Amino acid sequence: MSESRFSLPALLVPALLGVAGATAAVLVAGVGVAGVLLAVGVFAACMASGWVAGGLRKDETPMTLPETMPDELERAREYHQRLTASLQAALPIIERQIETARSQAEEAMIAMSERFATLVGRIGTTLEASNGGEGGEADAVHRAYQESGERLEAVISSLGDSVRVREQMLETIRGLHAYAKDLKSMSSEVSSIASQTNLLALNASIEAARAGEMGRGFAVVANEVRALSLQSHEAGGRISHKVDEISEAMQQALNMAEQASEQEASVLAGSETTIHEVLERLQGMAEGLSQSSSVLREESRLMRAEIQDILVSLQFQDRMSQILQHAVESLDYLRAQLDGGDAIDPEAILAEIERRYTTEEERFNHRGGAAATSAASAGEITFF
Amino acid sequence: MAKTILIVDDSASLRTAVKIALTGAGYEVIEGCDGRDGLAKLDGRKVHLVISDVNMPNMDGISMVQAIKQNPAYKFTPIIMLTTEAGSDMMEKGKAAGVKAWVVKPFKPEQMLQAVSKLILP
Repeated sequence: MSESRFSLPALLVPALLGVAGATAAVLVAGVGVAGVLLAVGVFAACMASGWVAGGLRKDETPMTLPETMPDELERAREYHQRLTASLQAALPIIERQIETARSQAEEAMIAMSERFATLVGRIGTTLEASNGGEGGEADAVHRAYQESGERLEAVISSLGDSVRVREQMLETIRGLHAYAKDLKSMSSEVSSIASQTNLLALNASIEAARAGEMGRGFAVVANEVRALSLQSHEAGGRISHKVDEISEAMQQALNMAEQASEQEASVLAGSETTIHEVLERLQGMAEGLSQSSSVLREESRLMRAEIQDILVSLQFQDRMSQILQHAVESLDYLRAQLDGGDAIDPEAILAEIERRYTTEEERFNHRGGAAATSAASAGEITFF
Repeated sequence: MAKTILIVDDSASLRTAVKIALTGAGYEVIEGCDGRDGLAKLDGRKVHLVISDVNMPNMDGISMVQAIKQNPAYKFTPIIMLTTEAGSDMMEKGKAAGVKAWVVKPFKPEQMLQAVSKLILP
């Protein structure tokens, strides 16, 4: 063989740098695999500088060495062997480091996601418990307030009815008092009639005396009538006296009832005021509780939304995991290619590495920062 | 009765993010960790929509969609792909397989819910 192709290091440098760049783009979030990436980058840089020290630049591929330079050729072969051996030894280590970092980040992210999911669930439970709907605490207080208010209003109403019944009774007693006056007037009439009857009986006795023997019988009747008129007069006096007594007792009863009624009305008014004050205070508390409950619900809702946003932000882990996975696969593929010797085809290797990409960042980095063509951007929805 | 959505993705954290967004909107969610597991979850139960990743171990998302479309019980079940893939070639493959919508990660919950409510079976 008269020529030897030294394409592998030239291939490795951009490839490894590409891997490091693509991965670093995602790992800005602070996952602790920066050391591994740094190792990859440093390794790539060492390879590049080693190659330059050997007298070749990375963009001088493929390079042909003439047969007339056996020493140079031998040096180059030795360099190639050492480089291949170094890569064979180092690449699996780097792969394992990246894979370890990737799996650790993934495990941590899964655990974090699950904890966030639990938090969202708990917030949901809290929201349901403090919900203003059926069975809600604030609603229960509000219902208790309404029921208490209705029952206390009923008590006030009953007391009012009682006062009104007493007023009607007082009116009736006042009516009886008026009858007492009539009775007294009637008893006076009886006394007056008795006096006149007495006078008439006296005149009849005089006339009977004048009639002599003929009027004796009439005189007896006249005396009896007179005696009856006196009894009537006494009866009239007693009736009048009793009416006075009854009237006085009625007046006293009226006075006492009116006094009691006034006190009752005063107590009723006081009770009504107190009950309304208590109800207002209860209403204030119920409204305050309801308001607190609303604030709690709103805060919980916002917190839940925040956690959901965080979970969405954690999607970077999925991209990072994919990029690192592809980096590991690419390194593994490169290692397998090291045994290929002259059969190594840089373009085919780069094409194979590129074939694995699933993210725009990888393609972007692979092309050295050139914008990749994509049919859709992140978060975009395309309907078919 | 809540509608059921199958989420197929090899990333557990992403499944959780999608699950929280969907359950918050009242959907019931079942999960599959790759294409093969996703197909296994379609065991005769009523599934109103499928959301799937593309690149997964064991069976990729496009192959799973092709298999779902071969199943008479689920051939009309709408499928949304949720993936980092944004290339037109891959999207064409999805469209040819019978995918109804293509969402590029990272997704926004409100957009995902919008797509779900637009496509989900009654």
